[in-house]
Amino acid sequence: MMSGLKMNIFFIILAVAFFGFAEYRGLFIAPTDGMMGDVYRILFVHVPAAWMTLLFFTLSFIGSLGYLIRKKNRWDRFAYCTAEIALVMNGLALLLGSLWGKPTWGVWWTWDPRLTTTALLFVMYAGYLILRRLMGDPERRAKVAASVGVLIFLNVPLVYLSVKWWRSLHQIQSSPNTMAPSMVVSLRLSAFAFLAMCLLLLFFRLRLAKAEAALEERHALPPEKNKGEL
Amino acid sequence: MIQGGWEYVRAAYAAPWIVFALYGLSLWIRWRRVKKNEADFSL
Repeated sequence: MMSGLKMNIFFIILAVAFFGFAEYRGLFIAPTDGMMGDVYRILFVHVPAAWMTLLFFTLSFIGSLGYLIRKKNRWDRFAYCTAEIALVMNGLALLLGSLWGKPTWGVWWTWDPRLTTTALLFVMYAGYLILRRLMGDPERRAKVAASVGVLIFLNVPLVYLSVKWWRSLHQIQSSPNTMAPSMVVSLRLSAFAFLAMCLLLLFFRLRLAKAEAALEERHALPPEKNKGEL
Repeated sequence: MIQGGWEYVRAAYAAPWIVFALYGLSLWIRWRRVKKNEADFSL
């Protein structure tokens, strides 16, 4: 049997190797696009980052709902850990979109509905995490954060549907029918590689959150209750 | 067809590595801080 540390290292190496292979495929194996040339290869990192953003914000919403219904701290921890990872992916998706926008649209940024709602999503969830940091009482913080988490999730379907509702500069969602099979394989592989990396980070983030909560609880207890408990 | 643009592609492929590494590092630093606080608290 492998020890916990060895298991962790094994899964880190596995996820990183998988991610490296997926990037290699997107960069060198996938064919060049007839219209966008090689610039389109940004799709293999931009789209999975955007998918992870939506997936992890959805998981955060489920965590917030779970806390409001069950009042268990593990739901609260799940909500903010997934929100933190989603926020990182959100920032990455915006950055990668900008890197794609410059050579194809000629601008780093434009106030297109998809871009604007995605940027708004980033600001909202950054606010959610800042709000959590500002609140001291864990129970009140969890209750307020869960309510805010449910409320701001309303922007997630808006981001997804923005390209359909307001046809603008950003293209609508690609489907396997509109792409060459080898491109579809590269995109799916990259999406799974992003998912593996995000799940790995979520595992470590949840462990950290549990340790933080235990420490916070110890600090909150009167000194006599802490004796001999460590 | 858009010609070139490899500098954007290279930057886009480097960005996830940098972001994952920095976020992983931030988790590790926070983990170390919690463990240090735990140790200080038990003294």
